[in-house]
Amino acid sequence: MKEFIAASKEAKNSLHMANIASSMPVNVLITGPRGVGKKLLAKVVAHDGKSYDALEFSQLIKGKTVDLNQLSKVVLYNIDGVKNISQLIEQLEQNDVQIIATSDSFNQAYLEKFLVKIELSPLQDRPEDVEILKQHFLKEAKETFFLPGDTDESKLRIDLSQNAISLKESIYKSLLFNNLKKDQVMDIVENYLVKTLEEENDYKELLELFEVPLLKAAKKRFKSQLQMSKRLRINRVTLRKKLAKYDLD
Amino acid sequence: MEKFYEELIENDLDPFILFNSSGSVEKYNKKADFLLSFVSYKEIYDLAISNAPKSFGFKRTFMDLEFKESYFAILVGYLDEEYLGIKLYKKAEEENSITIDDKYKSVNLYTLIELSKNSILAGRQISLIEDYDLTIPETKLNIDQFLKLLNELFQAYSRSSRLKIRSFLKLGEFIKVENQKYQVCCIHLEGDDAQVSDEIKFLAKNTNFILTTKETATQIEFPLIVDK
Repeated sequence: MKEFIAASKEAKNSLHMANIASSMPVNVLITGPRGVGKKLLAKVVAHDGKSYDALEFSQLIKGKTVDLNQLSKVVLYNIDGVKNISQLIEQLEQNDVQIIATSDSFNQAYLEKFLVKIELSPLQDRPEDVEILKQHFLKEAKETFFLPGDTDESKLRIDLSQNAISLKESIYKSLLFNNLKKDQVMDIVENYLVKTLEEENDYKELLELFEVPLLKAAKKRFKSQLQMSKRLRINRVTLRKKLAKYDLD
Repeated sequence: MEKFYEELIENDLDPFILFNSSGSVEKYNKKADFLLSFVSYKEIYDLAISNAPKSFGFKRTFMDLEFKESYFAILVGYLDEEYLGIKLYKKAEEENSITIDDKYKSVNLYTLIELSKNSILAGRQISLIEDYDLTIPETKLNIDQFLKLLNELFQAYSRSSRLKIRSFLKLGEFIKVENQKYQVCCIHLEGDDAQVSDEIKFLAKNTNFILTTKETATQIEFPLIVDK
């Protein structure tokens, strides 16, 4: 994603603020959890300003590989990662360098140094943005995996725990897993076993690689244990024992 | 001789107001004219009544008063049942000496209000009423100082359930900067909960902004310096 997505009212407001702030010589702090678009918004504010990880930047300054006189503004990601952040900000202010920073949280130690603050909320609070991002990642994933045609979106397992990062990952995984063929699944298992097999292995323990997915899938499909035992042609007592063994009962 | 005393009062640096027995303003001097442009005469009358001497004569009371300018005492007196006079003693303060340095940049006032308002009040349940005079042109300001003051003020109103923000040009008043007169630009905030601390007042004073408060209303005034 190269542009900040703003479909929700809140994201539109943040983008509006970023656009206004881009013409002002003031320090801007963008906060919010991981994966909400802080870096993209920082680029809107900074235009062509150079960007660095804050920790890396502080080390570059220490090593004198960055000439502050040559900088008029700088984008610093994850400023909480720098221990002496107040000192770094002061140093930049003394050299009239405008700071556009991102952080996971508001920190009172340096908050007053930033006159403009933009707070981005988690994606789960912005369903309009989620929908656009979902469509974007879906299109991207389909192109990557050469999957033509429509996708059944009800089969996508969406994960917003890490916002856009987990959303993208979950869409790619869903699309990949939903389109695997039998030989590809066997290849994956074989590949896994080649990497993990040791000198001594318990065959029964390795069986869980087959049994757990099978029992989970059967549970979803056949709902009751009675139906599961009937359709899988397995003794009910044995089935119950296996479900208990894998904490699936 | 009477004429001399009248002129003396007229040209006094402190405001003087004379009320008649029905509570209406009978006479006032130049300084009182200025004072009554932002304080109601009723408020001054009430102040005079509550601090009047018990019998004929004059009574001086020391108190801190803030009517845009600061006052340290009042003198209230009457010689008959007809007239009641009040004089307010202005605190001797250093005149605002605004110097325009290279940190003053031409800027759109509303973009700054927008940035500050959103920075501080985003996510708060405040009902905002905004009334801006959009004819106010770009003005030269120290952006850092102005944003800092606005941020502090919005923070002071952050517990309000409603907040009215107004911007306008003050008619008939000027601020003198480096021997030049400038129109007065105002931002007026009014909410139902204002925590405007002395620190904020101090900040305004140190950064060339005139800040006045009255109950839950606050007003910032500054010169409208337009790039020619």
